Amino acid sequence: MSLALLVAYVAVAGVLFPRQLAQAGWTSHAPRLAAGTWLAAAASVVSVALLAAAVLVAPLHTVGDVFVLLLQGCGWPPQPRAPAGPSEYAGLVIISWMVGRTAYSGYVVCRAARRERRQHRCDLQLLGEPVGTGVVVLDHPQPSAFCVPGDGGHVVLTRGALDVLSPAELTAVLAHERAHLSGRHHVIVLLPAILATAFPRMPLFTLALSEVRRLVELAADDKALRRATPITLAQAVLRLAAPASARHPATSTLGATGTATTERVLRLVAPQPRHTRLALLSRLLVAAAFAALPLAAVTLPAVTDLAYHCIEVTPSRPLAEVDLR
Amino acid sequence: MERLGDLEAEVMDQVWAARGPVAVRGVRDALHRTRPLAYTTVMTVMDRLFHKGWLVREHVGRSYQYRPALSRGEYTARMMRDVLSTTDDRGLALLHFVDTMDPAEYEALQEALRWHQSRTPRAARSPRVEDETL
Repeated sequence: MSLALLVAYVAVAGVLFPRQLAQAGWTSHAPRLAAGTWLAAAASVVSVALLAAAVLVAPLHTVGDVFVLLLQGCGWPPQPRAPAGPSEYAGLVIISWMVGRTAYSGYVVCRAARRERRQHRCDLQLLGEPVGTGVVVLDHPQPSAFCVPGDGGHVVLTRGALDVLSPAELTAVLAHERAHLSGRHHVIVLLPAILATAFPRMPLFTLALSEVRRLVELAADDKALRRATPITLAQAVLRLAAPASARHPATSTLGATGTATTERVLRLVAPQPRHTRLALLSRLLVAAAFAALPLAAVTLPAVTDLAYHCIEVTPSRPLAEVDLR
Repeated sequence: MERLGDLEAEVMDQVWAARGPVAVRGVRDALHRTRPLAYTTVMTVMDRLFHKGWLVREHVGRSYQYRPALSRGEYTARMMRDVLSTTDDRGLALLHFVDTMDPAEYEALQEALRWHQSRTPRAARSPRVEDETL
């Protein structure tokens, strides 16, 4: 029963919910709340899936007991025993598979990002011309701006970008990139990136990765608006996104709409719809529910006899005697 | 660590500035006016740059003659190619301001922006934004 519920939760929150959230319009207007919801949902699904696998090994009540015991610092449960029966072995295999895959992906993704960043920093040190605190100019004609996190972080502008941006637009671009650095957006993107690498078939994780990447751009735009007007920022986006052929008259007349950049620019120039407190609160509650649900699922069955736990437990055994499961 | 990186940048500047192959002594003499360094320091830095692939060298007599593996422009172009390539799952290593748009999308947005600017001329002047010194 509890196993079926947990599996159903993983299916709904991992497959159906992300499609809804990815299409929801409000995410663009509250990018930080939306990114938080994605992260909470991802963490929630991972822990509930682990819990479902644990239920194969022991009843939910026992799993809850163990969890509460550990929380209360009472030591391990009194009767650890060897796994018996195929379902218990299956549960253990699933748990170690999930943990192993996540850990391995985490290692691979973090190492690749760190290595690439170190390479960029090394290149920048030799090629770039430092022009201010944390700002480096690269002598390249293509207008571009980006930031290299780590080691204090650097904002990189090309000579081409300096040529096309007005001073006010330059302020907007710098504010946007500094918002990425101060908000540690590269770390926020890491969690969904690791999960999407570990479990690429799960719609929640792959969608969370693309959505969180989009949302941190919008969050950085919001912060940049403290230093620039929306029109100025939108103009700066357009100047740096200009295709190489835009300096000649464009021949294509196909109206390509709906890409992330279009949405980003239109969001700046079009007035934003007002959202009621109630709508905001309900969305906050959804995010909080995702975060709280795994904990509730594991502790609630055990909470009824919470008071007896430490009394019932015989003196705890040393860790070496216990099957680590 | 930071200092060594600075030193590497200065040495590379000198090698790039030199017309042809240079020896360690030549770089040391060129740097001498702004930054007096021991011969061995310059030699170590240039050896590091050789092992990193930034310099190539050949034996001439009893010492090495160094040349840059690529010109400064070629290196910058290579780095920008890395940075702008959209094939891999980058975005983890660095965060871009914006990717390049296709021409039709760009035109449509430019049009939309012009329309908004003409409707709200006050916003375009951006009165409260002061120029930031870099």
